Amino acid sequence: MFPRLIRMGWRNLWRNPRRTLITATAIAIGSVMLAFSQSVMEGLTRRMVEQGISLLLGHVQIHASGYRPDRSIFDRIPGDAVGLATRLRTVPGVVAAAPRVAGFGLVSVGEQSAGADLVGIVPDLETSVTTWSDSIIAGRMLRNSPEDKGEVLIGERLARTLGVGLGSSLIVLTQAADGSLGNDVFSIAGIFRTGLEMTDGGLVFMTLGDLQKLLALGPTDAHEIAVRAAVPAAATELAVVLRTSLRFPGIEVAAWPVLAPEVANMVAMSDSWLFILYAIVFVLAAIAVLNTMLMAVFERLREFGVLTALGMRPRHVVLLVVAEVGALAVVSLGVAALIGAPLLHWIIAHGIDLRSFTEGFTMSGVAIEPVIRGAWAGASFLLSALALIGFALVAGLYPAVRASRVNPATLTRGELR
Amino acid sequence: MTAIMLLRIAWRNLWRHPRRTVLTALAFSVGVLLLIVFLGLSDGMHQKMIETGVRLASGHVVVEPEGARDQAGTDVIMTRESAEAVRRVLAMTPVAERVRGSAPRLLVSGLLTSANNSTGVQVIGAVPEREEKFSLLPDRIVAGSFLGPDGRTPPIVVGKVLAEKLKVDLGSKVVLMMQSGKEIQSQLLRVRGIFATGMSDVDGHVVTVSLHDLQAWLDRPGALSHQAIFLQRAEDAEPVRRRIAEALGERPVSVLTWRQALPQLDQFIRIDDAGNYIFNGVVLVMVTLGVLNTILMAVLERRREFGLLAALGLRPVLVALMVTAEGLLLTVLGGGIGLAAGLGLHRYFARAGLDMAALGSAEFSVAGVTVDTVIYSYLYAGRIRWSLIFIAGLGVLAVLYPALRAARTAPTEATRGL
Repeated sequence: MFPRLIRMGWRNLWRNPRRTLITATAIAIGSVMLAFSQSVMEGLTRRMVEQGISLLLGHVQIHASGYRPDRSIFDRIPGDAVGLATRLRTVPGVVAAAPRVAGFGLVSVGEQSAGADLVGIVPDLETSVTTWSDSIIAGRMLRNSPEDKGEVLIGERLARTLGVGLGSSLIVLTQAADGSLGNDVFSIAGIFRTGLEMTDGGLVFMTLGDLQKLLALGPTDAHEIAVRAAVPAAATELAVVLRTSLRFPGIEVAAWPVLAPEVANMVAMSDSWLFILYAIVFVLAAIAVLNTMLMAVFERLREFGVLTALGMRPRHVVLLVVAEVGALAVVSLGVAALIGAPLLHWIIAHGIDLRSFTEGFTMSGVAIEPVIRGAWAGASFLLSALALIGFALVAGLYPAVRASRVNPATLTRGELR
Repeated sequence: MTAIMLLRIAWRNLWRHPRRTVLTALAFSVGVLLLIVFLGLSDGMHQKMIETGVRLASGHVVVEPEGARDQAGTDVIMTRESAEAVRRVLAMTPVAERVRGSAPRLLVSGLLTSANNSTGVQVIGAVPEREEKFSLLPDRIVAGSFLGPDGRTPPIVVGKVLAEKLKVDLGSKVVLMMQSGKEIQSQLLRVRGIFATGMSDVDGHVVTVSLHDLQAWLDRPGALSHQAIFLQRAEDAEPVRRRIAEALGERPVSVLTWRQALPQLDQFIRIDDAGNYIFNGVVLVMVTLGVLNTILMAVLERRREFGLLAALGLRPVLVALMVTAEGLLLTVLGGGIGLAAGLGLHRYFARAGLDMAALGSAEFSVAGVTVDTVIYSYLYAGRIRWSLIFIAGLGVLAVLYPALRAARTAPTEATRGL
């Protein structure tokens, strides 16, 4: 009985191909918009996590307890921090770990000066954890070799503020951990541009050794260890694992949702926006299905009466109409795939190029590139397709029940309708 | 056949299938309602962002020395002569009546040190009386006052995040180091006020001191970095900018509106607007297809009727008009209900606001400007007018094909299948 009902439902659907196609197109347009939005949001949040977190922060960070949010230079990781970073790399789930020293100083050239965050890094470890070194637009990354001492990397905005370029020397003045005033001359080895105002205008990188010396710290001291996780989405779980497995006293392990709540907020916001979109598209699709099926049922009341008179069980009449609704939903999804596939391909492969209009902007402290690209969100697509079929079936229930209630006795009286 | 009669017939025809008509009108009204509500909420959000951005940064219109944007620093300072000229322009009637106030400021960067820590800060030298009504910081003071009465130690106002970082409180002493010429200037200050804007970049990096103090420490009396101008209405920014620019003539200053001074915010709003247009367009197309479907079905099932009308001599134009009237009545019915409900919701959201936090959303920021989770709806006449024109246009498009089909019905259709 079942396959036959489905075949009949399918055939019934095409008795009025025009109506079917118009309804299917309406539902398809909504579904395509939904898939398009899902793809763009997925691309945006994935990129936000990738860039906002991998750029500078690292997926997990380790500090001395109480270091955040004050970031006082006195609160360094107790004991051998550099050694701890080496040990971290052997933990499963950790791709790389880089120790850092952080301080603050006044950077000046001639009569121009600006405040800047100073970050001491181990160059080759840093590049394996974060991606900011890819945004060096002039010069080169710092090197590990000892003869590279006394070099810094600065942001493009800071370089403009100070009016300096590659090879210029600048003076860094800071308060050292022993209370003295540290100052030294550095030469600019490279200039970076991340698109983030605060980073490009207020960050100076130098080697770990240089900054340790400037701040009067020891050679194994560090304030922060940035960790690259094998699975960024599982950073919170990794932080828990590190916390329990390290057994290192006086430290705090935090994953990126804690370190950058703005980014986590963005992800939450995009989810709630998508939820509203789902609701709207599904409700409109349900109304479209209901309207179409009511028309289809009411113009065929006599036919359903005949089917009942011939002995078809009401249950089967319901199933017949439901099969028609299901077929309509499937046709809608087919039309959606037809329109949507090229559109999705385009947004994922090429994206919307806004470069002529904007240089990009920052959202919650993350630079958004001026080319908006989508991402393949397979699970979300599948889920919303199933939800759409579900909504259609629910909307089709009333017409189906109505069709099964036709009284065959009234068949001949012409009173139907 | 009069128009009234046509409308009456059309109206009666619509109610031959009350269920279908109601459902279609309902779908259409949902589309219109969504349009109105989304327009109101997104404009309301943008309006709030602009307001916050303008109050936080440099006003609706800003006058600054030429080249200040390419090279920030104490070297790019407005000449005293230009500053005087700006003051004169602001007093001129066509400008003055649109301006609520203006604030002269001097910006430098420095290093702020407490007994516990030190950090880089953006120092704003401001005149408290001029800032109080317009800028954001005096409004967001959570402790103390905005550069209140002078004690013996000059006052400084800091952000909450900065205060926590430096472990200072009201009355604490801090040292501000700045570069003045070739020398480093150190100044002992007392924290007189703490503000909290909720924007970590601002709360952690901006400090305010008295403009006269700052000019004195740097030994640059009268020096300004910019003059921020606040207007009665944000829409006046461009005309006011033009007037000021004309009046200042050849002086080495640039006059910018907030759109130019905060380009990222402007671009975000434009892109967000474009996205909303697409979304609203898609929703309306979806519901318009519903109208098309209903009218087309109504036409196709009445072939005999139209054939009869044609046989009786009713001109095809009138048949087309009758069907058009049916479609338009349906659109007006659905659109009217949607508009009324939408405006009602808009008024509610304008008063009570929509808290996005209830939907799991959280505060985020664009171009450094925090977007509140509570959004207040905002609509202006132009927006409503254009949406109505758009909806009417869609209604006409939807009935075009069914009306043509009906008009082309041959008289022979009347006898078919008899």
